[in-house]
Amino acid sequence: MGSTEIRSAIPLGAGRPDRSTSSGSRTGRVLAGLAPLALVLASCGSGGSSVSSTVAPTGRGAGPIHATTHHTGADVVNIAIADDPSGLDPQAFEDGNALAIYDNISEPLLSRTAADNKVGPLLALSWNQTNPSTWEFKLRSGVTFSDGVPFNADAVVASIKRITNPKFATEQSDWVGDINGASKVDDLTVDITTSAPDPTVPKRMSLIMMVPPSALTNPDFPNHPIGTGPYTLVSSQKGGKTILQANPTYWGGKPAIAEAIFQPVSEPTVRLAGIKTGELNLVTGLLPEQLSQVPVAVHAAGLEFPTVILDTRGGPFADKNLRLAANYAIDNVAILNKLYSGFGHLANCQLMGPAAFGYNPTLQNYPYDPAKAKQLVKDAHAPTLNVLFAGDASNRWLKDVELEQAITGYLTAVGFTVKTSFTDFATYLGVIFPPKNNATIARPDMIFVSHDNVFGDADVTASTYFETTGGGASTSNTALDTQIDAARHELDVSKRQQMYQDINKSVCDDADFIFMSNLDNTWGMTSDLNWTPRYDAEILVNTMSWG
Amino acid sequence: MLRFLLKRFGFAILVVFCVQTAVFLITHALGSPARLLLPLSATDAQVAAFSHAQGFDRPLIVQYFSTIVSAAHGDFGTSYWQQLPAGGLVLGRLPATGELVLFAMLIAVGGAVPLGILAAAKRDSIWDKLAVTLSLLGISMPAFWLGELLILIVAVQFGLTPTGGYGGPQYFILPVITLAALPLGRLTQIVRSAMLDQLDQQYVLVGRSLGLRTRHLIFQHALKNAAIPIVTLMGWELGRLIAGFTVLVEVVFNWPGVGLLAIQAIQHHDIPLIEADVTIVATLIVALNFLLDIVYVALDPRLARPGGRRRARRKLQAMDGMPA
Repeated sequence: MGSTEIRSAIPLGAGRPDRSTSSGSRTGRVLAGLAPLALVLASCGSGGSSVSSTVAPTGRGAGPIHATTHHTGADVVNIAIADDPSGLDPQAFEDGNALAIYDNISEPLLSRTAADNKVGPLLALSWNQTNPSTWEFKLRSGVTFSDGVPFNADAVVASIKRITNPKFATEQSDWVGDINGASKVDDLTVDITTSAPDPTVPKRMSLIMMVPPSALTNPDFPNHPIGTGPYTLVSSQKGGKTILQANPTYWGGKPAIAEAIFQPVSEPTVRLAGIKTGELNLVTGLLPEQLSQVPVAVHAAGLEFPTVILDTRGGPFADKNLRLAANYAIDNVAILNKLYSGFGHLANCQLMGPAAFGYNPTLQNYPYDPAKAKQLVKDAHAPTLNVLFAGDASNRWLKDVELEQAITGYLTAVGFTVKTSFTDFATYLGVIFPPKNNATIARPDMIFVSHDNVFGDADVTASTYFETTGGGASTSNTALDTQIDAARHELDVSKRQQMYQDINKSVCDDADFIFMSNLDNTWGMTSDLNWTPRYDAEILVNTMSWG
Repeated sequence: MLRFLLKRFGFAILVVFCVQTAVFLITHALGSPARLLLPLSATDAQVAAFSHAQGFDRPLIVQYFSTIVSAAHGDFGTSYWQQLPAGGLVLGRLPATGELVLFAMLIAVGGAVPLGILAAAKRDSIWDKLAVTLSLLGISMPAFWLGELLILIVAVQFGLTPTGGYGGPQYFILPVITLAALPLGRLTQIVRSAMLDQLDQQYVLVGRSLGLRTRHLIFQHALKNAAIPIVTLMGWELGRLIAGFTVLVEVVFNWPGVGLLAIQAIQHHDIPLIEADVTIVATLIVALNFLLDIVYVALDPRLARPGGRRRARRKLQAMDGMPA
């Protein structure tokens, strides 16, 4: 929990006050010009009395009375998500806006701890591997779905049957992995089977949601999902509000907050405006510099690890010294502070955080040492140091273009000649994930990516970016391939963990990437809400209360 | 008359077909969307399986014909993003955009006609200058800027309206004003210039010399004669509002209409939804233009005669301030 703290807003960056004053005076001038308009508006607005004025930013501990100043009533939490959810079906979609909603309606067999993503009991109380491709789960008794249907082995079998059906074409295939079926042992015992030995089944079962057997046949289920979770769906308007209500029969006890309204607000400035007026209680996806303007800013270590994949197969970065030079060239602390207002920390020379299985606690980023970088570049005696840098220009990741530009600047400063090619996301995807990636395919010298290992297991990172056959790999290292393959098939947990730690160390020592930072997830809240953010960025309304 | 309308109708169908083909070509130039839709860590096998389930692995020409034929039957396919019929998603968003555009046009026309007439009738007076200044302000303020400014002042500073979203009357105030500002400005200018043009005509002078009241001259004679350029620009503004201008306003105010949906569809690389959105909006615009043609003919039957439109257009272009 150490990395999580509730902070009231203090400006972190320098130089911002000047800018806000100048824009203030500009606003003032325009305001004067618009005075007649404002008068008309004032007379219109007085009719609609349901909108309250701003919530006074008093300190915490104002008590429940404070909450009544919200125009929606005391017991409703208004949450802004960044976009319309793809849908409400808990087994179909994997986008964060859908997750924010269905995480409150449905539950998986196992839970993940808030701070460090460790698997724990939830709908299943215990689990163990009975043979290399079978895991047995003992289910919690007395749990029902919100429509009264009991949760039991039949429901688990139906849930697995539904999500593994190829016709269902779930977006969660990376969660499902090799899971290929489930069979009932008795009413509260179920076996989950995989097509190959898979030590990550418990992690997978902390992501796959349980649905009632009726979901297989009811065509309306995707619009009106039913789960065992603490909230039930009241209504959902496309492009508008989705309203959830506390489930009075929830097995874990009735939640403190009676109603949650999720609404998509696509513009960060409008989300910011909404939290300032108190229309919204919790907003996601604010820009780092906006966090100094919200009543309460909360942050937690997130999953995003922006990095640069270096091409070790050919070109300048086939030379390890130049890969090291690229790592020494970049001032990650300055980037974190300037670009991300300090919301994040150094990546410790790997692409996953302490909560991921296989994280190596002994590693540290290469320090910022431009002199050393320059020396390494000089010693390479290369006639030319032209490098092609492919990146994404679609703003898919927080400040991706700004970050790519900063990297370009730092590398140029130590003697590289960087040719950039920042494209739209579709073109970029064709570059980072060519149709058949292998040792013979030519790759750009540098490819920007922000890696998020949602699954929390080092194998995802290794099989995508480290292995020769990995979709996004720019390296061909037979020794590393052997290490990865061995780790993947190792069923002993502690041995397996050690193997992945070794893999992370090899990749760090080899400087196959430019290791940078791990960005925080951030939220803005009103001061009357109590909530601690999670490592996996889930928004669980039953963990909130009014302060 | 009938021949004229049939010709316009045939033209309208052709335009919709061309729009659809263009959208298909542009969206499919990006390659298979399977990678775009799945998480970055999805394996090649997972991508291939997803591609097959969604039909992305069929030849492009097969996909094209199936798209066009289905669309002609009103079936735009299933949205990749929301896994629901794309046509239904667009139609579900139409009322919100319709309401926004309707109220904005009411305000624009309801404000521009009296303002323009007042400015023309009291030429060079303080009223004239005020009307011209206000209309210039409306024309020159970008909608996203005006929208965010209104949010900052009206919603955040004074707390008079919600910052965004869709709901009761208070939710309409800011987006409607933002959307109305530009057409209000431009319509005011065109009403003013069309009226000035009419008031300079000989018949007005004759009317005045016969002792007719100015009010009578303006409302009974000049306004009617000035109607064609005003109606033309109104139709043009209406089309513009539906076709693109609402996009900005809907994004800024988080208004669940077809404009916001178009942006979301593009962001999600949701090809069926992009096709459905563009085709349905294009059909609306084309239908609107067709209706306008009928209104023109009703206002001035000479337009239905061969070559009548061309003559009329030349006449309109000769007028001050008229977009070609």
